[in-house]
Amino acid sequence: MRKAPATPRASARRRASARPLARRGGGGAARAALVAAQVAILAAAAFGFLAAGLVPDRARAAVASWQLFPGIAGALRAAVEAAISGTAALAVIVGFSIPVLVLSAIFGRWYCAALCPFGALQDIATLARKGARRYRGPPTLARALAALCALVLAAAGAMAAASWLDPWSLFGRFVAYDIRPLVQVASRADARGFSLWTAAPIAAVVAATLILSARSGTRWFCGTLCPVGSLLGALNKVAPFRVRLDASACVKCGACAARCPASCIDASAAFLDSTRCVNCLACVGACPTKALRYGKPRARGAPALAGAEGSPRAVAREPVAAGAMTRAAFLSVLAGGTAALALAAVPGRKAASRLAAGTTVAIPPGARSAERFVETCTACGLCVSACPSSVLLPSLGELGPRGLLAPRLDFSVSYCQYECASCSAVCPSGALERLSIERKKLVKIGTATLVKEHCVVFTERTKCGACAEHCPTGAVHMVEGQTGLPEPVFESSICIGCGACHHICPVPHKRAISVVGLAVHETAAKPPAGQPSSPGPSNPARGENDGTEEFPF
Amino acid sequence: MDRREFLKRLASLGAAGAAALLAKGSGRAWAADAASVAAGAMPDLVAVKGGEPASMLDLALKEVGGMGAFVRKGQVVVVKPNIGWDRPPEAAANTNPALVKRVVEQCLAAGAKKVWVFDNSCDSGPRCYASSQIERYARDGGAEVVSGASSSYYHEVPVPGALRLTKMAVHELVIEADVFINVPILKNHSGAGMTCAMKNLMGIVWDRGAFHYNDLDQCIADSCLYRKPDLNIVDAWKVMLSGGPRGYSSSRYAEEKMLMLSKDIVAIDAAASKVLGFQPEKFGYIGMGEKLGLGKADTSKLSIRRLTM
Repeated sequence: MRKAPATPRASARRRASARPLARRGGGGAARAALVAAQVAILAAAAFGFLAAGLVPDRARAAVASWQLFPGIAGALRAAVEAAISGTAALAVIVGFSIPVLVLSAIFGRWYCAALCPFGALQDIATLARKGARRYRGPPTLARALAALCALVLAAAGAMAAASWLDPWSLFGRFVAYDIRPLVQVASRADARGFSLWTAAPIAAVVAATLILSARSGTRWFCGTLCPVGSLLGALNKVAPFRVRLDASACVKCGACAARCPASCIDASAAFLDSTRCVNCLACVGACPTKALRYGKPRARGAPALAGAEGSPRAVAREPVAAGAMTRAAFLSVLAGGTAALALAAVPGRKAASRLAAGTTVAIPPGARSAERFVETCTACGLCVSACPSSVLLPSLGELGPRGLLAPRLDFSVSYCQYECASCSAVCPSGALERLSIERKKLVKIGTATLVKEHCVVFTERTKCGACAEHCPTGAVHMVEGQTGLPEPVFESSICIGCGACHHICPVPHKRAISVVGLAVHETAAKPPAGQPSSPGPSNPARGENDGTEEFPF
Repeated sequence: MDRREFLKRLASLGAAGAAALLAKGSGRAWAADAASVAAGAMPDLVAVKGGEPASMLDLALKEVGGMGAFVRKGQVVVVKPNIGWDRPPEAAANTNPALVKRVVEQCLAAGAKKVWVFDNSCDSGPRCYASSQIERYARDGGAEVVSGASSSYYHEVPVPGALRLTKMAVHELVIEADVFINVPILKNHSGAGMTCAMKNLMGIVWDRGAFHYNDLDQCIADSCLYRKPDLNIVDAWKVMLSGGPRGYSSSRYAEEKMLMLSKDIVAIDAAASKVLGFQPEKFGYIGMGEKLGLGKADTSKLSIRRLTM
């Protein structure tokens, strides 16, 4: 026997709890479009990080170019560089960060619900949660501190540290360093350069975030720790278009709060926290009284407008409002921020001077200098995923604490491919400037040193030539010498430091030829015509393009 | 395996005997060549000049009784071109893709159940497969292009009779396939002097550092002992004379427009060294290969069929 609903609030509540999955829908076509965009961006981003050979660099770059944190970092960098160099125009505004910000100032904080893959991951995690979500008050302090940390670290020239909470970079590192090795092993590829020291902490951080999302049923990270979220939250507060709650029409049924993945609605107070709201529109379809809608404020004079959206004071009166989450978040942010600052400020300076003095660490072409690189790279790992030879690995201190997880080249793993500029093509922050293949072929990222005393040609008196074989420019080449064998000869001016010789040198323990990175990249000379080559000129009777003698045997 | 090997050896013994009886001298005369083919003998070496890689292959195969002489119905074939470098076809650093495609088509036409194509590239495998265009051409020809770029495909095997390289990790396709066809490109090589058929087999092995550290020449010869290719097809259409194996922007080339075909991996390398402009003695591994019983290094003692298109 069916009971008649006593109040609209109770009936709505019952509906909300009776259809836990169906209630995720609603909100009409706009909501469907948002979800579709979110799924598409999540799939495209994940695929871009996972499928090295299958995704063209352009597609990878296209997805990444919509990401706000690296985009803003790159735009600021470009502005600073343009100012320093005195050029009037901003050299290159990386990606779509400025358009996204402008659109957000008008249409509110939609980016998080549509374009952020880390937000999408959290939304998936929240599907596990059934029942109402709790609004815990605006975590003003935690949010401010997290954003401040990012700002201070970025200003201090530690972009990789500043981006620890950047959702794109977090997502990227998680897929690149945790998921990708699994896919590689499953597809019989070598997970080259895999390090538990990288994989485990990142997996722990992301897993903790997602577990908390699943338990609370909210994308708590976005409203509390995410620096991009904080920025967009501030914009959302002033944006003319956003989700609005008409308190006069609200029956406080809680249907909206039960659906809200941003946990920005306090149904009992008829309050919508616009700084946390991601305009996902989940609540709009859920509201039985149409108190929630997306759009501009109602026309002036309409009585519904007055106090329509409640006020934070209403929340402050709630005893839960300044609750545990805020304090815990505050403390963790404080601890993390202090540690980050200490890491960046104290040994960072030492590392900076070491980088300037001439590091042994090779960094990707297009970085220009180690200093510029750690100041700009958000360590998202997209270049590491795009690198076809796996020579790019996240650094674990090699670039100093400021450059933690920023990529470096490890020639013991592989070497930089001469005909490839994938890393520079996909970089979303401009830490690696775009290089044409022809330009990249002359970027000297390091230089080789040949120690003949270790070379097998001299120690074993056997042929080798692996270095010259792999050298793309002929900087190391073989010339028949006193041993009667082809001996390696090194010409530094045309060496670009790709590491091919270093990687392939077969001498165990002590390599006969090794490459060290340059702290400031240089331009190599073009390989000259008529480079020497072993085994020297062939039969003088047979000249170039001489196919005239029919069969020489 | 044993029976197949026995039959193969029996066939090659017969062919060698017939060749010895019939191919007196170098047999330059077309008529003499034709006569030996008519008698069903297989020459030690077929060399074709002047055509396109694919058409030269067709002609060369016709001279030895077609691909059916090497591939029987239902067999699985592995084709090993040189896909070592991230270079375009015009750099002639990798085997000509049109030739690889034709080899695949010929194998399938001869009734092969499956044709695999792979190489353990020096540069990044996927990049080499793409920029050499071999991946695309081989697939067009009906082959299954398999990765050679990860250690999980390679399994350690003993190398019987080897002097230095007594064991090595070999790609599983070479272990499993019924027929093994080696399709190298001839070019200058900074370390070994020349790379052709014998040197191309370094690409079936995972750890090449071991070669370089244990006497490169001897290891190249040793590596051919594990499984002698059933057929070697040398691409000498455009020959890199300097700056090999990768090639510099300044590399010199000779437009030889030649293709060679032989069951004898040593003989085909000896002939190739002369195409490059050197005597076979110049390249240590050729003589070492002969000493190991892999084939004949003296080109004057080979029965050679020479064809011009």
